[in-house]
Amino acid sequence: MRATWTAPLLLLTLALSMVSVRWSSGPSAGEAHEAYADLYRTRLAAFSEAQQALLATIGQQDPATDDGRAAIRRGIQEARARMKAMDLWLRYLEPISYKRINGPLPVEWETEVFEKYEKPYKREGAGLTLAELYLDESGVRRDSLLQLVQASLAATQVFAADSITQRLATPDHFFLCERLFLLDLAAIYTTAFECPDTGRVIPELRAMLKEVEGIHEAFNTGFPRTPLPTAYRARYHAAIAFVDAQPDAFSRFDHFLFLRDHVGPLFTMVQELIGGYGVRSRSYMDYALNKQARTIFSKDLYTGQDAKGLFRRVSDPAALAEIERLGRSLFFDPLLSGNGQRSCASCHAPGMCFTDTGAATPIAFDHSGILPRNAPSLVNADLNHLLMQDGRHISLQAQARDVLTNPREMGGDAVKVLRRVMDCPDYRRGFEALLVHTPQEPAVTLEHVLSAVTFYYTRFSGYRSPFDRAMDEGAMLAPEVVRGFNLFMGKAQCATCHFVPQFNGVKPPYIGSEFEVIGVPEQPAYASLSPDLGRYEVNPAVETAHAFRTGGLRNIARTAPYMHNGVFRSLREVIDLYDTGGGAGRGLEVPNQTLSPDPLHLSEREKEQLEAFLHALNEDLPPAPPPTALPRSRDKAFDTRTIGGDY
Amino acid sequence: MRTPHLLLLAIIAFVAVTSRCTSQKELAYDLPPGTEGDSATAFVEHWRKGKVLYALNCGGCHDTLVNGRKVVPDFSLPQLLDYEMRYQYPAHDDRLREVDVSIAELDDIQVYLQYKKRSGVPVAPLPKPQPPPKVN
Ligand code: HEC
Repeated sequence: MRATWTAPLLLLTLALSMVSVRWSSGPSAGEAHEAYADLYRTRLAAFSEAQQALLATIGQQDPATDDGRAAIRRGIQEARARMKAMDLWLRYLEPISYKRINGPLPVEWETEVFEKYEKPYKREGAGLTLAELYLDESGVRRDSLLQLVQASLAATQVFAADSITQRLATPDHFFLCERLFLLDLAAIYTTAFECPDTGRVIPELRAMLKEVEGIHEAFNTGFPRTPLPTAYRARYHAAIAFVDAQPDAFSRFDHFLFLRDHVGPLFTMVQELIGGYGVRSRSYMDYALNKQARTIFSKDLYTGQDAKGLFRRVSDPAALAEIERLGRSLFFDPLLSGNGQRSCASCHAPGMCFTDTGAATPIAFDHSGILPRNAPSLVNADLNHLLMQDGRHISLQAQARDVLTNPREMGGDAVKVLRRVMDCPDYRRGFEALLVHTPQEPAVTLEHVLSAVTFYYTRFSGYRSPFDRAMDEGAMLAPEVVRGFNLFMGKAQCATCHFVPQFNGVKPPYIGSEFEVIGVPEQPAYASLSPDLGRYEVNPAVETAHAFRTGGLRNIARTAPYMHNGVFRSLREVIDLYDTGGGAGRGLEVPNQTLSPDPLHLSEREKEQLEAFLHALNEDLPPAPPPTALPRSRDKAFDTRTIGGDY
Repeated sequence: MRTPHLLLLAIIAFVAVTSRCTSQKELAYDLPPGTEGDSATAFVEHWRKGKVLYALNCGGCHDTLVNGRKVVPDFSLPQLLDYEMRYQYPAHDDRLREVDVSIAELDDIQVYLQYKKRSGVPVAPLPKPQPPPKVN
């Protein structure tokens, strides 16, 4: 069904377009590209003018009256339309200024992937979305509205700077803008993420798609040597026709078909163009994205974590197999714990999707009580940029080191653990033989040991679900699953936090992890808010109290109990939490809740459909049996240790 | 299976011993002013790792041939801008990701480049990115 003919056609078009092409990127390419830069400048001017007009309207109208508010709202909508006409450029070319034009939250704490070793920093949002939200508040003040729009206008002016416009002179940025645009089509634009008025999501989308077609036209005029091929433009046009034929109502939009038949194939084509034209990036917006990823739903779309750690440069299959063998054995080996009784598998049981479905939260070290947080599944853990529910770790290896030496968890001592590992001749021989691959390390370190462990368990992140196969290969899904996905993306608003394609808190361009406050209760009956401060423990700021990193939803049907404290035993209880507006919707005091406290009004049938969709995210995980024996130790006391630990 | 490993181990041991002998010559760094005791030990450790990691990850493109010998050029401080280095230069695109060179490793490389003895060779004007491959 899904047009497989596009790939050969695309390649043919590409080949034709590249016959006797000279790669010249400087102004010597002629004045042609000016046509493209002109469109940029024209749209930038129109956007600035719309904001100036809006400022004038706010100055003249009284926001305390219905008529005044209506006039201001029209002005905001007009300015938004001008913004959407060049969103493809704005978002990519200067993302920080863009936040001042269209920031979804008044205050955001950010820790982006390349800066994750630095402290999170505060960014104050401004712009049109916030102005519109603010307009609906009681006691709205004219000068506050003016400030929000003035900040946006000032940020818009940044886009006229030479440092930005000179990038319009070469074609590279365009393909990267287009790629990000497609990812935003998949994950952001259709989900009401930054369009608070859901009634306008689809009309805005329609208008934007057409404006982008104008950009395509100008690009092909400006850069005839590296054009968007006819096949691409035809498919893009089909996407417009599809959205045109959809109803205006946001809740009835067919996200499934839009993604499977339009955005997905376009993404595959743009990746082929990026590879074929040798497009180079100079922007951190492409930092995590992989040029080799063929589809939006391929697991290598972006890189979250370095699974191999110290062994990152190893590509020899025999060496990798040996690292995996050592890692598997260590994963089940209680030698890594202080009392020789616990292993990684104690709380992350491979037979239970690498979590513990039997306990809300794990038993603490030496049976001294229980731990405060649920043990998450390790499957797909590497698709996050920050690890742990409060995001305290930046690498899988740092996380592993922490658990190992945490007196409440595995209670080990870094020096002793390494000695114990090296006291087993099998481990010693294995790691010493691998030293050739890490010439900067003269001897085996704990980092080698931890890297083997992370390499082992991240192998299980490479699998796919029926939903992925439906998206990428056109496999059939039950109609209930498709309806569930459409609810997930639309009415139920799940996708405004659990982003396509991994359904975790990592959104395009996939360079950071998001945190949310949803007001999870301490008990299933909602008598009180969970006292756990979450992200606040790492980054104490009023906005972060009770915030937790958004979890991924792949395999979620297998990984009960749910939430940071394991308070809910069933998916239905979790869906009910969202349906009733989180903790705040249930009357708990959660002043900084980021989830709307308004009910979703989901019917029984709709909740079943959501669950059906979530079940379709169960991946084809292979069995992960424990090793039949653990390596012998020179210390006889350890030779009776239990595979996988005692508790 | 075992023999090649033992052979490699023997080579490593040999290299380790010989490199210790020549360490005075190999470790040609300028200690940052005021670095002594534990921090000097830590510095040397970072510098030493950085030197190996530079050779592994960067030297192939950046070392410059002078009279038939490969020389590590002198990078200037502003050129060694942390993570920005990963994407600022088109040639680094797809080559200097965290899965290629980790944050800690890049830090070590920067320590090495910043404090190695000057070679007097500037960072060569590097070739422009290659033309796009022909698609067929
Ligand atoms: C694939 C070859 C390649 C590799 C590998 C590589 N570089 Fe580069 N590097 C380049 C080129 C080419 C440039 C010139 C800028 C450009 O891309 O136009 C450059 C530029 C630089 C610059 C800026 C120099 C200047 O003249 O302004 C620094 C600093 C740098 N590289 C450091 C490194 C470090 C450190 C590593 C290893 C971690 C590394 N590079 C690895 C090819 C490479």
